[in-house]
Amino acid sequence: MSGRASIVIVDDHALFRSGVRSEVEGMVDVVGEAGNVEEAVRVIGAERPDVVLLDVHMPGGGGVEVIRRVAESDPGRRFLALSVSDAAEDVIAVVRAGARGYVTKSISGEELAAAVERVRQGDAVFSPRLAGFVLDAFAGAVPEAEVDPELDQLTIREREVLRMIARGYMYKEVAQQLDISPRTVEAHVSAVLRKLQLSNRHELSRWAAERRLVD
Amino acid sequence: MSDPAPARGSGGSARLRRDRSEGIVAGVIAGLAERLGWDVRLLRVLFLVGVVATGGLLLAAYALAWLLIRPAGPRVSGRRIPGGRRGWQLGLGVGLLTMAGLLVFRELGIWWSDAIVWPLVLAVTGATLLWAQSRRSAEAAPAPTPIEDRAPAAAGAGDEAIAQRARFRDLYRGGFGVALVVGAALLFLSQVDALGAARDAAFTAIVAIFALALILAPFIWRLGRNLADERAERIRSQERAEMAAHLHDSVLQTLTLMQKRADDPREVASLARRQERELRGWLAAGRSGPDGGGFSAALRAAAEEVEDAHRVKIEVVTVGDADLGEAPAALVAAVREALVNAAKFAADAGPISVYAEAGPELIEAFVRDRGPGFDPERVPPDRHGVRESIIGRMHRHGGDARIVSVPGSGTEVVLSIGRRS
Amino acid sequence: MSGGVDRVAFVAGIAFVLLGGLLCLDQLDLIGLSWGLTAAALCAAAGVVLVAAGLAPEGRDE
Repeated sequence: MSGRASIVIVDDHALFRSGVRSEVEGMVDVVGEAGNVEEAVRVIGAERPDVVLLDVHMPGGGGVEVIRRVAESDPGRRFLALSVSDAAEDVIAVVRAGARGYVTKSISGEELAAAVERVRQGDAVFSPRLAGFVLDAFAGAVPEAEVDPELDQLTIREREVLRMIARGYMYKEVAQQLDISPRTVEAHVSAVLRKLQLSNRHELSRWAAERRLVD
Repeated sequence: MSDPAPARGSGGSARLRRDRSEGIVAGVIAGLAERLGWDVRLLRVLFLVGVVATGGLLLAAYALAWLLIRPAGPRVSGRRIPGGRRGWQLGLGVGLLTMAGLLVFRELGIWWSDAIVWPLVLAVTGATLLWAQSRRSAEAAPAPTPIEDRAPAAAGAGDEAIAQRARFRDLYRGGFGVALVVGAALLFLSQVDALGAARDAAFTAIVAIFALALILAPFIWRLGRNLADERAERIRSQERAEMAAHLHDSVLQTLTLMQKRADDPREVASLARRQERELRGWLAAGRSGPDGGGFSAALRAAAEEVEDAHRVKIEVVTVGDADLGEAPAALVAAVREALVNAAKFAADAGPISVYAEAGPELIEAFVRDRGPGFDPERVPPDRHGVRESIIGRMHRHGGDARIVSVPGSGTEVVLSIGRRS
Repeated sequence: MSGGVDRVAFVAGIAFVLLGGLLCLDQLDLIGLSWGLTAAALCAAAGVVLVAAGLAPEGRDE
């Protein structure tokens, strides 16, 4: 895997698509754009990009629907969710649908390119806010003996890493602070992502439904 | 009683249905056989034996099951025809209950004359039918807010046919109800021999008025309810429209201001930020959340104030929440100090991050900037005071504060306090 | 029906149990039911079941 990552931008606002395109110009190859779910499924199928930049809210089902439809024929495709929404249920929903990460639209061009590269390598991208949501979702009382407690709790190390990310530290800085290698940080974050996607504990969806917060 | 009908079949997906295609009379036995997985013929024989054994009581049960169990088979285009059996069930049921009540009174000796039994039962049945039908048509009538739910034109033809049939049934049933009530009144009058006698004209009129009132009352009542609903809906949409207008106004103003100040990027950013907050606040007002007057809400409010006053970007992430007691309030105040401090010295170096976590015992907060940082050993005097105000405040409330700063990679203020100090 | 009770079946069950009890008591000569009261009880049971069915929420059994 070398060279620049190819991406498709899916967002229903044309203005925003061109904005992203110009911001990441020269750092990644934008091979396609789509403004709705149908178009997105078609373009992604045709271009087979390394990473799909995906808006959470779109007419016709939004990002979750795109992920679901693409996964039917092409389960390996990688998605990075990009949204103005701070609503926990949106974020958790798209990540649980299979997005490898979530960043807000206020992210800078370089940071976005870096995030795309990370997703392309199969790693997870957590914004501070997503880390906060996950910590919140997995907080609460320790659940009684459930089928797979492994999936329903975070390890101490994973919590530490998430807390550092929520505090605004970059992966590199997290590694430095915790005295571990950047690869280990990546591994922890990916593990958290997997737990988030596989965990079937009710608390997760109930929590998201109860909070219904936008801040 | 070996009643096959309603007490069974509450088992979720496989509900008891009459199977009219296989049945002889109404398909009750056939449906039951399918539900139980038994042979139809066996059940039929059992049923016949049962009828003989119970002296015909099972026949009554069969009739009841006929009424109560829905026929199997796909619904017409998946949509139920409004109205239908429900009204009949209600009417018949109320009629039977009236009958039962009258019989009990008669047995107890509280009795006027046998003449009223059938008229009263008929009248009550008719009135119930009418009531049920008026309720149905009120529900089926196009709601005052058909904007989002209006059926697409493509599905028009089929819906039209269904609506036609529904209307016909409504009419039929309504007519039947009216006939029942009027018939009951006439029956009553003929039984008390009032029709011929002129002296009973007044009495006849009263009975007629009573019958009319029975027929019309539900419609009048429904009409009033519908009007009230419509009015409430209109008020709601008006409120929404006003809110939207206010919002559009403020967005337009912000946009104008931003064009005027285009040469001052920080001012523009701060204007945009303020507008963004207002929009988010408006969106959030539509949903309910636990953040009312708690700790995390106070923290956010403090961050927004600093954002506005110092034109910096602050990202707030909170986990958990706490009531805003004395200790959390002190923590918020300290965070605020730290934010002002960071805004003064590190505003140009990207957003300031605030992370707060309200655990079961401890509330922690981290304020991190990406400014130039400093060497804690050589703190400039003007910063010293600020440090003291943060650290001193936390200590006074039984909390703890640390400032970690590395030249070149920013400063982090780490605050913690017990939930109750 | 999300795990809830089928209200019609519930009401019908209670009505028929009561009716059965009444008839039993009559059979055992513990109470003497006249024809009128028996008819009243039968009517009441059937009426209650029908009303319950008629009032059950629409689409309950989709």
